[in-house]
Amino acid sequence: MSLLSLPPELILSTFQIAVDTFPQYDYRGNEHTSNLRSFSLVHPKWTSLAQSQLAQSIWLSSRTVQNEKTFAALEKAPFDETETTRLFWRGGPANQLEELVMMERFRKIKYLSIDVDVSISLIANFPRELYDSISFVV
Amino acid sequence: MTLTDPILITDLETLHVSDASLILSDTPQLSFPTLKRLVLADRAIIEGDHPAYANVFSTAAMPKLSDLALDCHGLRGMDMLVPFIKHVLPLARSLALNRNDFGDGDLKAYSMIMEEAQRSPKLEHLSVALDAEDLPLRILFEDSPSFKIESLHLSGEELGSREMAERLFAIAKGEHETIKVEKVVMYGKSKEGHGDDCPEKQHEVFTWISRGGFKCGFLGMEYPPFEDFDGSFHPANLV
Repeated sequence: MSLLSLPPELILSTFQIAVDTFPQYDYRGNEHTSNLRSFSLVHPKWTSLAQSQLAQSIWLSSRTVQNEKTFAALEKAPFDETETTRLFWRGGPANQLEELVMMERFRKIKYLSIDVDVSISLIANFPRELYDSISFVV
Repeated sequence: MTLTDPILITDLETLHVSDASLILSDTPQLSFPTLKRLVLADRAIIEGDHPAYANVFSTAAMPKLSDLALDCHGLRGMDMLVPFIKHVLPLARSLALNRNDFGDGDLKAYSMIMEEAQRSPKLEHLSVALDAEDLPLRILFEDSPSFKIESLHLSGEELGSREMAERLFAIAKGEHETIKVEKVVMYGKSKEGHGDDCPEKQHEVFTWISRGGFKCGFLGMEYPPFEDFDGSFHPANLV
């Protein structure tokens, strides 16, 4: 069996061994994304598998969201379609995180990593459902 | 009675706070129905009083919270530790402790956490990944701990200390008087590389795991999971 004939599940497992899913020391995810980009170029059979892993995580900082072009791109990015489920928020002010939350671009985020002071009520805004003015009659 | 405040519901499953404050404000109407894991890394702290803690960290607001991963460095000090221990720790089914840079007050914080953890009826899995000399030994065995859990996860490097090795062998064989653990899981590539003073056959009382790749760390030293710890391991990683 050659490396290229391995089943997709095994290739994915190999990626997950080689690339840390929750990198604690890879602050901006550079190593994570660089490795997966390289894997995607190994062979066409690896491309979609590596890209699917790439799409799962996104790193954002004040530098990225303060750049108008980047922010505009974020507003248009189809995070729902690409199955982005992990957001790493690095060093940006919490009010910018709030803007992103309110953009409702991250409806499928299941994993949130933050390193800025933040209120639990802001975290709770990670959208999906906001029930306004629910009335309970007792 | 009519309540008109919004109820905020999030589908997050993991919240990881690193080197920052999680501030418990505007807490009465929050709900995290799918949040399973809370990670406090580096100097992360939670700021809030007892009522705020009670509102957020309850089985009503966080019915699925069961996995805690803690670096206690930020939680040092009674004003931080006491509400955390009272409200958050009792929810944990698995508890992972981690610290790379041992400082003043860390031992006290970990000891208080362990003291409460051993009383928790929910706790099933404990991971201790403390890269500081004798700290795992001290927090696990000082103050005559008494607990009964399903699994205890440690680095194979811990067997390098004769005192620690003897106690861990006793636990794994079910011979320890007060610490009862169904499975002691050691992380390392080689059974032979750790605790050279101990007879090789004794290593077989442990379950050995190696997760490979970057998880082997510097010089191939492996530590138990922190961020993704829930007590489980993949059978393919068995040594």
